[in-house]
Amino acid sequence: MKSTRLHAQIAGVCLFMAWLALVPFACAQEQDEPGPPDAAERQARARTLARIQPSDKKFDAHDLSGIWTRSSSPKGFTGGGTCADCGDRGYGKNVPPLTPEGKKIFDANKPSYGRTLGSADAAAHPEEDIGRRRAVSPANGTDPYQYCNPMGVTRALIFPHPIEFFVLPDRIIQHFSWGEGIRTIWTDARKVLEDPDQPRWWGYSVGHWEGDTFVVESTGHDERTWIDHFGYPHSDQMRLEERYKRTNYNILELNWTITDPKIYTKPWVGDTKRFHLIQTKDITTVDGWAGMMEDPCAPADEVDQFDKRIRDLTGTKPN
Amino acid sequence: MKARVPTLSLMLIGNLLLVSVSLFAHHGTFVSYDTKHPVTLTGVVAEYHFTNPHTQLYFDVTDDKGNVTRWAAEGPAPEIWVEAGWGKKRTESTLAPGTKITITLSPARNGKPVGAAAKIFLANGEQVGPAGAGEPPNQ
Repeated sequence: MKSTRLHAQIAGVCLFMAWLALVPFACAQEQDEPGPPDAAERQARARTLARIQPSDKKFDAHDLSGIWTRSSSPKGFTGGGTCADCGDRGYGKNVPPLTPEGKKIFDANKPSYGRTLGSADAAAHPEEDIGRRRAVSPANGTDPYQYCNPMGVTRALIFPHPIEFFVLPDRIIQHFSWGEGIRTIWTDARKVLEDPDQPRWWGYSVGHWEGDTFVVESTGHDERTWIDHFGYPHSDQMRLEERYKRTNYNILELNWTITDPKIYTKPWVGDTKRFHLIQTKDITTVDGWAGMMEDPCAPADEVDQFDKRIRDLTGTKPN
Repeated sequence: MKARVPTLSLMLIGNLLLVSVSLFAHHGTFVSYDTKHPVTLTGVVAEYHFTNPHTQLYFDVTDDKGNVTRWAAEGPAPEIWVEAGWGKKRTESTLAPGTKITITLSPARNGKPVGAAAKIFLANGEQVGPAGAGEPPNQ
């Protein structure tokens, strides 16, 4: 009983810190991709974040419409960072061996997330893939998003900001708040393109139902995007399979696999990602205007101002 | 003019801030900025921009010899401010040019007068922005 109460108190403290935007990385580590909380944890969460509780409401497993987010914050945003319930920010920890060409591209990608390259911190975690231990200053990095380029499907799905699913008779459209990305998943029985003539930032996607699982296959992903913010590469030959399953009224799970023989020697099964439903009314501006916020990366602000006047000044040597 | 941080109301922040800053895992924060040695500066706002995905604060700090250094600080994305009730108009009017502020930031490791903002206070002691203000920047 005491243990249960202690757990509830710990969970409450962690969530309170998250609400304060303090980004409790330590808590996040313990709650990596959390499962459905037990009763005590649910009560603790209910005091601060009622919206992420598993719901008793009836739901249609084939209805994916609505706004989903991996963030536990009240409005579903975390400002780009981590949060107690966002889970891991990478595609997957079980990274397959790279091909020689894949290794070359991997080495050329210089991310700014993860443990600092060459640091004692990086050396202290040899159990982690090197992709998570090679962060350099953004001024010395090659992250395509710092120039406001589109994120691409995998990275956009991982980012803990709201994603709205629009379900139409012949397609599902995913609207990614962060970066204002739009991706179309066709459900009109067309076949996925095997070798598209022209890659796209958001690829070519088709979806169909297998029981209660919505299966999406996509190809033709522009190789300039990264799989996640750790800079794992993919080629234009990448084939992505996503399997979405609504397990509760307000929980959507994603399991996914990347097959890209040009870059990886075997398929890469990503970690399960879990999204929570957020109601339109819960995302509001200071004026009370409800719904998805406008959340772009505008070059006029980011590249012309921020990068030149702040980011580029912070470069470090020898990165 | 090179900043003379030790003469500019510099002080190390207590363990609480050290712990909270060290919990951040944002875009190059640990690489670009010295999160273990935050500094507190008093200055006057020159510019503030409520821009996505980074808010930007530029302010002037005058040392005891009258030398002025223009500092730049990056802050959290606008939605974090909005979530805490700090909308564009309120924030920009509160941080209007000429406003005296005291700011705690993690300074750039390379010694440039640039930092990741952590806390901003007005002369009357009011804190500006979200509690904990301003986590270091996202991407």
